[in-house]
Amino acid sequence: MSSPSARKSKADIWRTLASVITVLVFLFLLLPIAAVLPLSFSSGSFLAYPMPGLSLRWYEELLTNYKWLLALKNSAVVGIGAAALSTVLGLSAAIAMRGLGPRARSIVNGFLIAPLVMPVIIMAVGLYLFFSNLGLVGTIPGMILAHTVIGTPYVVISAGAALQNFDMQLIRAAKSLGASPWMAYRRVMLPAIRPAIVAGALFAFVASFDEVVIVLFLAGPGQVTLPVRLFEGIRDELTPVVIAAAMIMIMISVGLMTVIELLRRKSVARRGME
Amino acid sequence: MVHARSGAVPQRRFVEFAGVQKSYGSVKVVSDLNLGIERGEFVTLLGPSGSGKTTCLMMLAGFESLSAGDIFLDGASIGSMPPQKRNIGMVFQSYALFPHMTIAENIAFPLQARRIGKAETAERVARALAMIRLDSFGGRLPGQLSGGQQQRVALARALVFEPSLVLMDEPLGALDKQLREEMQYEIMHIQQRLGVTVVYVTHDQSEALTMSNRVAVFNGGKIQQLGPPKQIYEEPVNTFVARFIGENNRLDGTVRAISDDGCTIDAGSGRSIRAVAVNVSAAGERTTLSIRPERVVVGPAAANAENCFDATIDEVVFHGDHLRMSATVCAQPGFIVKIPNSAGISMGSPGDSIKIGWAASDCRALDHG
Ligand SMILES: Nc1ncnc2c1ncn2[C@@H]1O[C@H](COP(=O)(O)OP(=O)(O)OP(=O)(O)O)[C@@H](O)[C@H]1O
Ligand SMILES: [Mg+2]
Repeated sequence: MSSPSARKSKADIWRTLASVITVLVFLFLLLPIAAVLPLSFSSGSFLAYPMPGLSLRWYEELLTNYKWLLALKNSAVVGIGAAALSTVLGLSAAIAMRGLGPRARSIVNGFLIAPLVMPVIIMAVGLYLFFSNLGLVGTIPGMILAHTVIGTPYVVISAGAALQNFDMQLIRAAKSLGASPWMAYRRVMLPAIRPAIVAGALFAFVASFDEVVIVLFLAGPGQVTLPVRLFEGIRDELTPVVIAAAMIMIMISVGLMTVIELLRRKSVARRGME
Repeated sequence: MVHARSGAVPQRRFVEFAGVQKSYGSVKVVSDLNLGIERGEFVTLLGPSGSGKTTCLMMLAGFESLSAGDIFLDGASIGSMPPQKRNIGMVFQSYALFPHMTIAENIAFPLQARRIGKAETAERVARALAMIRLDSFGGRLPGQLSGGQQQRVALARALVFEPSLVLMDEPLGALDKQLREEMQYEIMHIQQRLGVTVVYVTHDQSEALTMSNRVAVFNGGKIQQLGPPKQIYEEPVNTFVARFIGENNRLDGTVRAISDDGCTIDAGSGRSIRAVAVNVSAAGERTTLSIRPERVVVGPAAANAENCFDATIDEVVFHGDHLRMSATVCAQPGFIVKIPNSAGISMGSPGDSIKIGWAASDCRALDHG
C-alpha cells in the first residue's frame, strides 16, 4: 500500500520522464536541420564550420541566379495550379459523395484517397507512361495534372469532414426562401465550410511544393522545381546556396502549416458556437 | 371559360391536398390525404410522433415527392414544382438561421433571392425587425441570440417576402414552457395582422387548441378528425381523438339500445348510462364512453344529472386553481374529476363514498378502444 503522496510523486516522475523523452525525440528530429541552417548565412563557399563570416550573399545568389529563379517560379506555378484544380475536383467530389449511400460512399472515398497511400514511385512511373502518350511529359500542364492527383485527396478529406458537420437543413431553408440551388450552395454552404476548403487547398499546395519523385520523372530541364533543383544543387555545386534554398522552403512550408492550423481552430470555434 | 363556369372544373380551396399518398418503399406513411385549407386560415396538423405530420408539410413545401395524388396552391398544381419556386415561407424547428450571416442578412436573404433592390430590401428588413421587436439586433450573429429571439428571426425571415402561405414544423419545440406560451400568442397575433395562411405542425395538443382555426388530428398517416378546436375537444369522433386531446375519462360498456335521441349503455351489474351515439351502430356492440373531467358534477348536485352513480374516492390532489380527484366508478378505477378551487370546497378523503353525475350530452359512445 502506498500513501497518496507517494502515488502522486510517482505520477510526477512518469510525467517528467515523458517530457524528457518528448524533448529528446524533437531534438533528434530537428537538430540535423538546425545544425546546417546557419550555414546559409556563411560568407564562405564551403559547407563547414567555423564560418569565416556572416553574409546574405547566398540568398542574393538564390534570387539572382536564373536556375534557382526558374525553379522557384515552376514550383509556384505548379503548386498553385495543382492546388486550384485539386480544390475544384475535391470539393465537387466531397459534395457529390454526400448523395451516395454509405457503402458506395466508402468505396468512392477509398478510391479518391488512394493516392495518399500509393507508393509515389509507382504513380510516377504510371503517370510517365500515360503522359508520354499524350505528349504531356516535360510540360508544366502535365506536372500540374500529376500533382492534382496527389493534392485532391487532401481537399476531399478536409471538405468532406466539414460537410459532415454541415446542417443540410440550411440548404432546405435557403430553397424555401426562394434561393436557386446554386445560390444556396454559394451563399450558405460554401461560407460555412470555407476554412476547411482553404486548408485543403493549402495542403494540396504543400504536397505539390514538397514533391520530388513525380517531378523527376515528368520534368524536362525547363520544368525543374525547387526541391529537384535543390537535389541537383547538392550534386553539382554544394555551396551554402543549397542551404539558403532549403531555408526558404522550410519557411514557406512552416508558414502554410501555421495558417492551416489557425483555420482549423477557427472552424472548430465556429462549430462550437452553434 | 364556359367550361369553367359550368362547374366541370372542381372549385379548389386555397391549399388542397387531393388524394395525396406517400410511401417509403413498402411502408405507407400517408394514405389518401384530402385536406382543403381556406385563405387566411390557421390550420394545425396534430398527432403523435411518427404519424406523418412532417411528411405532409414537407410535401407541401416541396422537399418530399408525392407517391400519388396532387397538391394545389391557389388553384394551381404544385405537386412537382421545385421548392424555391413555390413561394411558401417555412419555419423550421431547428430555426435553420444561416450562422455566418447577421440577423439583418438572414432576413434580407429571401429578398435578395427575388432580386429586390437595395433600398427596398433595407426598408423591409427594418420593418420585419420592428415586427419581431428586435430592431437593434440586426448586426448580431444568430449565435449571439437566445432561442426565443432566434425563433422570432426565423419567423420574420419566413414572412418578409410576403408569402401567402407559411409552414411551421414544431417551431416552438425547443423553447421552455413559459416562452412557448408567449410565442404562441406572438405568432397568432402576427398571423392575424398579416392575414397570412398558416399550416402548423405540433404534437402539443394545448398549442394546437390555442392557436388554430381548425385542427387536423393525425394518426397512422390518416386524418382522424378535422374541425375547430372546440369541436375537436368537445365532440371527438373516435376513441383515438378523445384520448389524444385533453384529459378524458373512459368507461367500457356494451350497447343496450340505440334511439334517435341517444343510446343506453350497459356498464355491468345492471348499471345503465345514457350517452350520445357517435361511433356505435347496433345493440350488443362493445363501446368506450368518453367523458371530460370538467363536465362531471359531484356531491348532492349530481342527483339531478341524467347519469348518477356512487363512486369511491381513491385520491384527492391539490393543484392550486383546482382539485383533482381520482375515483372508482361503475367498478372501473381511474375516473378523474376536476373541481374549481372555490372557497370552502371539500371533496372528501380517500375511501369515502360520493355521488358523481354527468349529462347524457357530455358522454359520447365511441368505438371500443
Ligand atoms: N426518409 C424516410 N424513410 C423511411 N421512413 C421515413 C422517412 N421519413 C419518415 N419516415 C417515416 O414516416 C413516418 C412519419 O414520419 P414524420 O416525420 O412525418 O412523423 P411526424 O408526425 O412528423 O413525427 P414527429 O412528431 O416525431 O416529428 C415515420 O414512421 C417515419 O419513420
Ligand atoms: Mg415531425
